[in-house]
Parts: sequence; structure tokens; C-alpha cells
Amino acid sequence: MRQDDVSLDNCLKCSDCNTVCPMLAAHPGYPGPKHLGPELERLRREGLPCDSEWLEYCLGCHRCDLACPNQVNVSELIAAAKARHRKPFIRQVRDFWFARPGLLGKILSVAPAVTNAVLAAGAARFGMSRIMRITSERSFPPYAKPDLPSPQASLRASERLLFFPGCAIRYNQPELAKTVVALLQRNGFAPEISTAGCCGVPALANGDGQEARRRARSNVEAMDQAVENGATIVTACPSCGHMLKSGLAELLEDDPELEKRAKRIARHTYDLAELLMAQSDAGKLNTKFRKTDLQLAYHAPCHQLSQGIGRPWYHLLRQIPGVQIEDLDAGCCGMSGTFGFKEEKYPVSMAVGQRLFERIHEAAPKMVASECATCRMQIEHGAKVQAIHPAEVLLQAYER
Amino acid sequence: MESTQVVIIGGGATGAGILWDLSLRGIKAVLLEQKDLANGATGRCHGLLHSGGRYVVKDIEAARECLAENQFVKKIAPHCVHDVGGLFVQYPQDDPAFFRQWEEAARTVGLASQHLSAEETLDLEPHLPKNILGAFTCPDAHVDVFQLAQSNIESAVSRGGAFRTYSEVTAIGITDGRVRSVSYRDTRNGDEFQIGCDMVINASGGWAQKVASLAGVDVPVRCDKGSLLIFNHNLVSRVVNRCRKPGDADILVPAGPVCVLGTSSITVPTPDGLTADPDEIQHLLGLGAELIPVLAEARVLRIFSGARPLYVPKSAGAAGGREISRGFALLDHETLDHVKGFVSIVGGKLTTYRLMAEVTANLVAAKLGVNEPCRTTETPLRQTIDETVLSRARKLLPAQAASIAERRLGPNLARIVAAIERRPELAEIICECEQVTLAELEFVLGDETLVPIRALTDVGRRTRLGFGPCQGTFCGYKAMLAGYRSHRWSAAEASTEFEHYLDARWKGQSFVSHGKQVEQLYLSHDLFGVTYNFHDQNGQ
Repeated sequence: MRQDDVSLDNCLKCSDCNTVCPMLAAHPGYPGPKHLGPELERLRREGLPCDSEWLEYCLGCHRCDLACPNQVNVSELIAAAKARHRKPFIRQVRDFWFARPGLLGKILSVAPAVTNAVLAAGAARFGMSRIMRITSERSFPPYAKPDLPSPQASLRASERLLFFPGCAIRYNQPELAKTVVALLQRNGFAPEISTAGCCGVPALANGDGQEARRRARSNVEAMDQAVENGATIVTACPSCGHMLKSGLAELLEDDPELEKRAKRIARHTYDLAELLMAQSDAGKLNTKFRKTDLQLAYHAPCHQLSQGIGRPWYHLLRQIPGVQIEDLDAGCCGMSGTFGFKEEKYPVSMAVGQRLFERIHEAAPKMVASECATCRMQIEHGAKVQAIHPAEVLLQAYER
Repeated sequence: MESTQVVIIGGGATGAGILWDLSLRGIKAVLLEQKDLANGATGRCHGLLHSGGRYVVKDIEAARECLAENQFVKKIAPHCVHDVGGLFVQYPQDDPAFFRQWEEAARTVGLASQHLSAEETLDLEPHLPKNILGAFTCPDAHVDVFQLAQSNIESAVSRGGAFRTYSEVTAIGITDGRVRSVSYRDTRNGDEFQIGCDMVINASGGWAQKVASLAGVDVPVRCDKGSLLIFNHNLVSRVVNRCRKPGDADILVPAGPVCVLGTSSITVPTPDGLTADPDEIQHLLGLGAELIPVLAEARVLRIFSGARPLYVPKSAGAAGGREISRGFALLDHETLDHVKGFVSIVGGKLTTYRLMAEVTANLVAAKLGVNEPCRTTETPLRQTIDETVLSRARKLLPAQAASIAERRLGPNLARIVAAIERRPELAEIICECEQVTLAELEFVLGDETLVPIRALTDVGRRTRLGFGPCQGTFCGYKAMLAGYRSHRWSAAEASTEFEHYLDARWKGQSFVSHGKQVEQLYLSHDLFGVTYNFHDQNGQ
């Protein structure tokens, strides 16, 4: 946060942000974004002791930012305070690792079979719950060898494209990277896969501002040259997309040169569906779909909404003949990345997701499509329905 | 007829200080204030506890006085002081000769000051313009004027002093050349009263001439208007002074959650109904942006004007506001005008309020034949708070609310804590901007406080309720309801109180012509004026 940020001055105390906060709706004790953001910031700048454990409960969904009619950087103010918040030692250690899914992924994917066996073992989970305060209610996503495709430029290549996979795809679902690449190739692109590491959202969410800035700096350095040469960045994880589009520049505000480059990266970053939807609008989308009888429900992740691009996946999937798709429109799932894995946050994470789970039961779809990996975990855990990335549906619909 | 030894007229810092000083000496006194405490110049200034730095070059005596009083006030009323320190910043556009004069004069006075390089200064205050040359440090501080007046009164009342607000003096009874009584009218209900007394002290600041005329005496006071701008949040962490010959808008004071820029200096005929005009505001804002550039885009909450009551003996001629001494004068009307038992204390400034009270009380005590010395330099204005009460408060309230309540309420925090423990719903924060709990509000509205309120508009001076960015838009209504529910006001009275409250809150914002406060004001107008039909009788 810039020292001369005066966006807290914009707050008219209207409480619009509070009306859309999923945590406030689920947890009446939570003070809400207006208080934790602009209201307390004013007192923090007075030098009063304002630290509060409630800062840990901000889901980082950015719905407050979207709702604010007065351009207050609500969630940024909260994130900056969260980064200064003091936690008990055990939570500090746990959150250190939760803030670094890239590092964790590197270690855990060396021998995925061992990792997965240990992570599924009851005794290990009991220990983690007791010592590390990681809930044993949920299963961990399985780890895999980061075996990502490295496609060469195809014959129909028309544009230079860099796919930013993110940690969940790289270490847990590398086959999804293949899906994304195939989908892009079907539409005339020749994507390459970026070697950039974690986007930094988990670091920010776990109150590790320093690590988030380190990630931002390293990612700008990793992608800057390609973007300068005219490349477009594509993301398939909405949190990575959100970070590249608005978080990077915010994190690098203290360094004007890096901030400028971060803004250039932001201008050239597209969500996968956003890119395909633009192709569709231009009449250039490959629409050789076969009839696919499938009853789907779509859940829009918070970080998809925060990108301000609408719900492009919903509109893309509707173009597949035979696909029946319902937009669930039931708010935040409550998972918020690593938040739902925290022992002490697990109940409230499930409480936030309750509305979504109920909507899914009403809609009774065969599967739920959602582009966020942790939303999918929460949906499978809370609603007991299979959840998939919409890219998979789209790719399967193409004629072979 | 009620009787007392001394009647003090004027509930500003000076009057409150005199009430405390006399009460400490065991002299019975009643303070009469025409509105609420700190309603005049006391409540309409920077709240700067001068270190004397501003006066060292021109008026070394005033500087010495300020320095001594600065230390006394920090010692006796630490709960009223934000001891933030100050800077005299050297701007490249200002006269370098003045910097040298300042440094020399500061040394002569004994002002603890250190020179900082431009880099060191910018490290401390990053919002200063990058081209500054350096700065001198000084022990300036912010003093919460409402707390200060209130604490003096609270302490005095606990020692037998009496304090009445909304009590406008209508006559001073003089028989055989000696003051015998004071008549006053309760402006809230029109009731008339008379108090018999041996002495009357005129501590009415800008109204001193008017009050003195009731005793047939002339006290030449010139009202010098100063307008100030309150900014929404703290943009500096210490007092920033421009190191130059004192002028307009060259001081920015971090005043708790807000910061205050001022002032102008314009002679006005009366201290009543002052307003800041648009040119004056533009002038102040322009100079403010020279002082701290970010002020140009920061949000202004309110603009208000106060009147410095400057004492102008007839020999002073036609000098302008800033040329007239900031010193004070104690006028013994027995020797000057042959009115026994009548004294006026005029001029001066907030920082020297205690000294003004001391010299006044010395004279009055001597006249009454009381042989008690002044003890205000060593008697704390507030007792310490029990540590167990503090830890209970921290369990019941969020960290910042507990810390604010501790500072604001002192020993009264025990009552608030006990009330919340009995009824947990009282922990509700009514004024979110300033973190005022329902428990504190009920205390202020109730009968147990030693400094009772009469009107809803008084609540802010006790608690800061409604002083934040929303300016009462979302808490004024709740405060009115609390007054109704506690049976202080009937439904009709509560509604009228709220209309007056809105009017007062709207007035200060209406001078702000730009930025978010304009939208805030419209929001309040929309909500209460248009939607709920609250309209002040004066026709806002």
C-alpha cells in the first residue's frame, strides 16, 4: 500500500461493502469490510492499537471492492493490515507454508505417491490437526509430477501466447494444463507455458506481504520480456488471473519502474474464457461442437467476478449443443484457497458455503463447472457433487 | 437566593481552569456558560499546545510562558495531550535569515531543539514536499480542547465547584460600587435565576466586552477571526510549522484521528455567527498544499471559524491581528473602574490557560482574604485508572475502542465496564468513526456524569460522537434514540434535538466545496432532509 494512498478518505460509510461480504453474512460477529478497511485504517494512521484476529477472517474475495461506489481500496487496506497482524506461533508456522504453495508443491511432487499416501493417512492427518491446526475434515488435493506439455509452435499458429498455469495446475492437476493447451490450439493459438512461479495470492491471503511482494517481483521479471515482445498472457485459474491483472501493480507500488512493467503485464493478461469469448464475439471461435447431453451447474468464483469480465465460461458452455447449464449465482463458496483447511476456520468456511451447497442441491446437476481449483474442492466436499474445470467440458465437446 | 463566593462567566479553557484553581483553594465558585463548554475560541482552534517555537523570534516573553505551560499541561493532563512533538520546517521559498534567528532565539529561551537534515525530516514526515531544506524539532503537542475543558470542570465539581451550561448572564448586580449578584437566564427553558456573590470573574473571551458592559465597564477586546480546516485522517505524525514569520495556514496539527490546518486572521466585529468565505478557504487550501502537498487531494471534513479575543489597550492603535500581542491581561476593575469585586481576564491563548487561571485566582483569593497558594501546576487533573478495569475493558471491547475509552473516560471507565458486564448489548459501537460505545453514550446522557449535557449537540464535545468522516450521518440518529429511550427527552423533544444536531453538523460541512465531504453531506441531506423530513426550524 502506497504511503500516500488516500482512498480511505473516499469512504462515505454507506456500508454497501458490508452488504456483499460473505463472511459478514455467515458470521454475525465479524466486524465487516467497512470497519476492518477504511474505518480502522483511519485509526491505524492515528497510531492506535487496532490489531484484531478478525483480519484473518477476510476471505479476500474482493466483493467489497466491486460493491464500493466510491473507489475505496477496501480489500487492499485489509490485506495491508493483515500483513502486520500478529499470530500465535503455530499459526505463523502453518501459514508460512500455506503462503508458499509453489515451494510446497516443489517438495511434495518429488515423490507424489509417497506424498499422497502420507496426506491420506489418518494418523498423519490427526497429527496435523492437533499440532499444525490443519483440519482433518478435508482431503488434500493429490500431488502429481509437474509434467507440463511444452508445445512447439503449431502450423496454424497465429499469435504468441504464454499460459500461466499457477500452482494448483502445475503440482496437482498437470493434465489440466494439457487441456488448456489443446483448447487453445483448437482455436488457432500456439501457447507456450510460462515458467513463472506462484502468483502470490496465497501469500497475501495468509498475511505474508513480504512473500507476496517477492512473488510479484519475480513474476514480473519472468514475464516482462515476453510481454514486451508482444506476447499475451493467459490464465486458467481465476486467482492467478486476478493477481496478474490488479495485484501485481499494487504490490509493487513502491518501485515505479516495476510497477510500470506490472501494469503492462496486467494489460496483456486474459482469462482463458475471456480470450475465447473475445474470439467468439469476433466470429472466430472454433464451434465445431458435437452434441453433448449434459446437465451442468456453473459456479462463478469470486476472483472471476473481481476481474470485471462477467461470466465468460457460462456463456461459452451454453454454446455447446445439448448442454444444459444453470448459473448458480449463490455467492462465495467459503473455501478461499487455504482458508478452509485451517482447523479454526473450517466451520465458518462451511457456513459461508452453505448457500451454494443448497443451491446445488436444488439444481441437482450431474456436475458443477467452476474454474477455481479450491472452489471445486469445496463444492465436492460440501455438496458431494463432482466439480470440473469448464475447459474440460469445452474440449470434450469438440469433434475428434 | 442561591449564593456563592465567586461567579465565573465563560466556560472555555480559562473559565474552567479558574473554577479548578479556586476549587483547589477551597473557594466556592459557580461557572456560568451561555452555551456548552468550550463553545467559543477554546473549541475553535488548532488544539496546539505551543512549545513557544512560534513566538521565539518576535515575542520572547510569550515563548517563555508557552514553554513553561507546555510542560505543566503535559504533566497535569497527559490524558488530554498527544505528545507528538513538532517540527519547524525550512521551506526553500522562505527567508533563510529567519531560520538562523529562530535557532538563536530558541537557544536563548531554552527550547529543546535539534536540527534535522532534509533527509532525516522526510524520513519522519514523508508527506512534506521533497524540496525542503531541513527542520528544527520542538516539544509542540496536540491538546484535546474538549477533554481539557471537561477535565478541569470535572475535577472542580468533584471538589465542590459548580458548572452550569446554557446559562446566559443577563445582569451583574452592583450596589455601592461593589458586585453583589449575577442574574442569568436558562436559554433552554427561559427560567431566570440570580446568584448572590462576592466576586465576578469575566472569562468570556470574545464576549468579554459585552459581559463587562453589564457592569458598566469597558474592556477593549478585538475579535480576530481564524478559520481552520479539518482533514479526515492523520497525514503527519507531528505538528508541522512553517519556519518563517507567523502567517496564514502555516501550521498543521495532528489532532487525534484527524489533522487541522490553519489559520486565517481577519478582524471581525463579533465572535457570534462566524463563517469562512470561499476566497478565504481557497487561500488556506493553497497555502496548505505548499505546507503538505497531499492536502490538495485529502478530504476536508469541516471548516470552522473561531475568534481570537485579542486584548487591545487603547494605546495599541490600529495594528492588525497578528501584530497584536498574544499575551493576556488581568484587569482589576476595582482599581481601573472603581467596581469592586469585578475582574476580567482577557487575551492570551489556549496554551497559557492555566497560567491565566492562576494569576486570576491569585488576585481573587487575595481579595477574598484566602491564603491558599495555587496548586494547579502539581495536581493532576485526573486520577489514574485501576489496572484491573483496563484489562476488563480490553476483554469487552476491540483494542482500539478500549484504548480510546481509556483515554476519554479515565476513572469513569469503571462505570462503562461494569455497565457492559451487566448488559453486554451496551458494547455496541454507536459512532463507528470515533468508536463510541452505547455504554459511553448512556453514561454521558445520564445523571452520574459530573459534566452533564443539555443538548444532543453537546454529546460530541464529551465523546467525539459525530466528529468523524460521516459527521453524524449514521450515529446522530442512534444517539437521539438513546436519549429518548433513557427518558431524557420525550419523542417531540428528541426530534427537535436531532434537527438542531443535523443543522449544526451540516453547517460545518457546508463550507467544504470540494471532494467526498460534499457527497457525504448530500447523503445526509437525502437521508434525513428528504427521506425522513427532518428540517430545522431555521430552515436548512
